[in-house]
Amino acid sequence: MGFKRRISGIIILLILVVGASVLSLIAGEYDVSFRGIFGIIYFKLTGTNMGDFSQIHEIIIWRLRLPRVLLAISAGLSLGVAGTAYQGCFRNPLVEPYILGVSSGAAAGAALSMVFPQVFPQGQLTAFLMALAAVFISYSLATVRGQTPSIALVLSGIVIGALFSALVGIMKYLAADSQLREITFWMMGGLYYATWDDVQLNMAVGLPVLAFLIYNGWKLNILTLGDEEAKSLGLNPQISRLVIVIAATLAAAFCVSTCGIIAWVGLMIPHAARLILGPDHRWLVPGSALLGAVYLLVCDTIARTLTSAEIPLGIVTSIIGAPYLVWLLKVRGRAIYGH
Amino acid sequence: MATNNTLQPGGQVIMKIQGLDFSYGTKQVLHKISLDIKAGRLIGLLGPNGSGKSTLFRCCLGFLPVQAGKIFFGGKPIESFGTKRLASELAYVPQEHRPAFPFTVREMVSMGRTPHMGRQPILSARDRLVVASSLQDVGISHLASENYNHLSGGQRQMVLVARALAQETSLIFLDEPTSSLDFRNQIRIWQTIRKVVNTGYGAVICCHDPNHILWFCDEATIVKDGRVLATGDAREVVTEPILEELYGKEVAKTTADNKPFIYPRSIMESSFARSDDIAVKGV
Repeated sequence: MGFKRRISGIIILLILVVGASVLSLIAGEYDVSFRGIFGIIYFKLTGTNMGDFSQIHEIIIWRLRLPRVLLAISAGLSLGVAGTAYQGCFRNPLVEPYILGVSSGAAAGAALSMVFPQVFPQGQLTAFLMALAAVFISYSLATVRGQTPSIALVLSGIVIGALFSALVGIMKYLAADSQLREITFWMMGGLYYATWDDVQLNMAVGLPVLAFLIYNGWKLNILTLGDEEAKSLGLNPQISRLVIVIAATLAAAFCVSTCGIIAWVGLMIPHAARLILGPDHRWLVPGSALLGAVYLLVCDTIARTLTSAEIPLGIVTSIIGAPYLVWLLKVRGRAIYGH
Repeated sequence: MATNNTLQPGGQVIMKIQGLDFSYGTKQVLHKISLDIKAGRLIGLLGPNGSGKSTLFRCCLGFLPVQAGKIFFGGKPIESFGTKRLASELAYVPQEHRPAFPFTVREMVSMGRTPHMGRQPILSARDRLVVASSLQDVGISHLASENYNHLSGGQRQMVLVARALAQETSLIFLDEPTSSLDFRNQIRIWQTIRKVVNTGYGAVICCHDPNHILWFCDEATIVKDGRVLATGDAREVVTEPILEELYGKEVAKTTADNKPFIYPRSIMESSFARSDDIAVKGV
């Protein structure tokens, strides 16, 4: 796979992100014209009024749809990149934030700070620390005598995920009625409450993590070979894996604490991106970010336009993603089980 | 590939192991191993399963910590080398395997350039040149764009040898590189390694077939129960009594076309022999 093919892949993905964003801005109950949308955005950015648009259109585009589109991009980017990083440094094509228990860990942390805001005032930070605990417990449970079989890591991730989900259950039980509603809606995974603050926070974490992981793309390539080979090629595998896991978990945890659990994105996107760009992580990481953004934009637009009531985004991605894992196990099972 | 400035004149000791002990928990695997590894030689490491040769290998490569004793490389203890620095001095060829992701042959070999890359994760023009010539030296340039995971076992092993060449070290450690290959590929790998050593590299190779050591290696070191049984010129070290000591079975050494050749004496015994052999010999 040459440089030309990869650079054109990235450019096409960029165009798709822009195209999907525009479609997502247009789609919805209220009809706002293409011209109208750009008039509003241009006005907000530069202060020049290009044409007439109504107050209600301004609210719909600037307060509702645009932050939601940007949050979809940021969430897709974070989940795609986190999935790619986990798959690379655990040498396991089956893992992603949800399967590793990271999402449940982050959810438990966020729920904890919703129910006990006096004790855990920093929602995102608590989510991040719990997510980090989840991934390290999963990994150490699955590692026996220095070996971490793919399936063992998936199983331990499911166990840890269940454990943290139970913790979320306890929080729900303890929560007051209004909190319960908040937790339940947020847990289903969705972008309906997207605000500019959410966008800023998630972009401020997602973009630096993306840059950091692109910079460490070569190290990820080396890590996929295993610890002894990585060491013989001049890389300290433990340290490299640690910093990469921390970065990926940071992006995933912030995404979960804003948007709830959006499962399977981190599994599907790296595979699809690998088909387009090959396995070199210097290309795969940015490719997964862009593809994840496109995928969540499309899923979220479907979620809010398919029926008159909104379908939670996490349900849409699960309906598509869970069969994907089954297909993956059927088709690539032999390679994954290690024969 | 005369680009390496760390290549040493053959015969000079570049790695010195002194009184090396190693234990896994309470189980002592290496007992006071002392060994000189010379530059520019092909050195075979022979020993039965569980003799400790893999552990010795892993200590030399810095995978396992030195518990007692010393390992010097170029006069300095190997603990004093950073991971990256050590990787630019010692290369490792593992047994062929399938990585989790479908890298191309060129990508696999390029990874050998890691210890020479700067902070930027980008291959320089010189890196690309070294990768191309490594592929050529091993004779697999035509496979450069193939998916590594789709190659045959022998081809994959060749790629790993090419990766070690791209690392431009003075010494290469190979861990049983022929054990999962068919006869033709075994010979090919050995010939490739021999060719590489003849251009100035030093190589230490773990191996189970005494014939391979006799045919291809300059020197041999025999390890048993974590101790060095014998070391020196391969054809002087791999002898009938040594092999008997290692494998507990009677083996015989003969010559064919002036080349030494080892075979189990039992093929001459009636209970193990083919019936037609017995008829000819009249046993």
